[in-house]
Amino acid sequence: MTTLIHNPDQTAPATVEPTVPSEGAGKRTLLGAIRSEAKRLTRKSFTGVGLALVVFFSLMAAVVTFLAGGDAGPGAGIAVDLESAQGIVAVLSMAGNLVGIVALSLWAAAVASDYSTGWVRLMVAAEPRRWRLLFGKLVALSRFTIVATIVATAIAVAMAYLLAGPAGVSTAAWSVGVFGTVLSAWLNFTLAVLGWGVIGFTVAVIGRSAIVAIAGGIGYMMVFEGLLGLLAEGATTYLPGTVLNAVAAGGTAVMAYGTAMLLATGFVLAALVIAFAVFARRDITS
Amino acid sequence: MQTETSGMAISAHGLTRRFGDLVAVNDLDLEVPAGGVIGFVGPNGSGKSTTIRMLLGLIELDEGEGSVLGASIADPNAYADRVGSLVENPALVLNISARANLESMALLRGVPTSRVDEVLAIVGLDDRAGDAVADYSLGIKQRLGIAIALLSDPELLLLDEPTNGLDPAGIVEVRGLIRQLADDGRTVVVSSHLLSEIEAAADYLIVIRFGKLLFSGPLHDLLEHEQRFVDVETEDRSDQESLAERYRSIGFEVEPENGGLRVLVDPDRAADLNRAAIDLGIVLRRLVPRSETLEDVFLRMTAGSQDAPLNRGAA
Repeated sequence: MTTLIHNPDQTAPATVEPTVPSEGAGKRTLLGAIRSEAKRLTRKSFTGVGLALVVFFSLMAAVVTFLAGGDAGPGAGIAVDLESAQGIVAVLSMAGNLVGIVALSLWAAAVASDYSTGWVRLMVAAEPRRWRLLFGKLVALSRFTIVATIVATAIAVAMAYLLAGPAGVSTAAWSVGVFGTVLSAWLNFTLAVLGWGVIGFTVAVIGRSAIVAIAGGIGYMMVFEGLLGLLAEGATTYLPGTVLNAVAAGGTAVMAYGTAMLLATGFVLAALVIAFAVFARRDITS
Repeated sequence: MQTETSGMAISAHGLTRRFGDLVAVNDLDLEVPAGGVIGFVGPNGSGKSTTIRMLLGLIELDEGEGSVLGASIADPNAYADRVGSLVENPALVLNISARANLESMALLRGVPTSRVDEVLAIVGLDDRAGDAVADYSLGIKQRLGIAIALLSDPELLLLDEPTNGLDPAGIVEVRGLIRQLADDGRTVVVSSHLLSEIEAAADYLIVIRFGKLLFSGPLHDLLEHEQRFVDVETEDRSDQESLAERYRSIGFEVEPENGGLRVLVDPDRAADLNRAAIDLGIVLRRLVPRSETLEDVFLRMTAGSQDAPLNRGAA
């Protein structure tokens, strides 16, 4: 076999003169990264399905909270007295885990789809400062999630009024400081759901697979923490699922709100540090 | 698009990338002149895609240094706005429209959304921009992938297998588009296994094997090394051996080929071959002067390396 050497005339490296930026070349910004992500998230298969699931689970949580108490009466299984001022937002306690699963799944799917479609190649080639890409995705997903929790809260409050009567629950105390009650409950609910989203986000960044992230997240929350809680009382007190539930509820008998917020913040920050570190260093071979 | 580039669009030395024991790119020196279509070829597993991914900052270099459009290869952010790419299959979000895909990338690149209409027109997709990408054929998706690569009006385009999976009409279309983009003043690097396409479109050729440079230079320089020969076939096959002996006796190198003889001689000597046959009273069925195609030259250069395993840690 003849091995041809490369043309010696072409081996001398030459200096490339700086080029005049063309009219088409633009200036990449963080806002652009956010808007780029938001543009892709607005597809019906994502926002439509996501919002539909939130609506469904909110409605289901309302029915369970007010009408499915059985002999124990309405509100069985939740720590909120339905006839207290907090009763108006009691549905959110039940909905917190369910909407959290939706958020975990959607955030995981949003991340993993970049790998499955190969879009991650385009993203990283276009914007080599990878932290901007993840940050843009975080903000866009958070924006969508906040809209979803507003919808869930609106449904929770509306259904509470609708179902209180058939359930025989007095709403006399609900009007006391209703604005603050609803706002506070929405805020806590949103923070918890965002926390679940970040978990799904991080697992998907690591695993590059929506299925792994979703199955792992649901399996962890439903199976691992659930079983562990049954097997050993207090064993799950400081684990993410229990902590986020405490945040959603504004504090529980087991964990004060302040402690829950501190721990949740720690979990979220740790997850984000891991996600950013993994994404920044990983070879894009997809 | 304006450019004042002179010299090399890409200049890199000692590029090396390992995946465990696998050396995918092995001390590769790469000089890509600015302007024109540059064919980047090599057998499967030779390191072409890995090299392109390193240039785009998708994969880190283990060793090596260099520059892309004058900016250090270690800082892809410095030249990302001036480079467009299509790596493997087009990366598209299927359940949104072509326009939405382009707008998303335009937002990320910080280019005005008016540029979306321009690139759609360049690739001829302006009348299908509103369709969901899932409804597109592979050829249309490839064109959309090229459109995405053109959004920032790049000086340098890196296209990895842009005609992959296309039918002949699609290949011709993309080839024409690549030529047009190069004629507009861009440097277009095309990695392809379709050597006929490289031969038809490229001005300059880079050949690698086992992650190392085998050839780099104008296409015509490589084709100057092509062998030329005359294929001969006798009407009566039993005459073949005596004819071969006669050719050898007058100084021609002969080898069997496809049931006939291949005489390694300049096609200008075809008349001598015919005369020698006549002198022996042998009737020829076929006397065809030929020269190697790029594919023939390439296969000869890389003989034994087709689908060869990657160099496992060899020095």
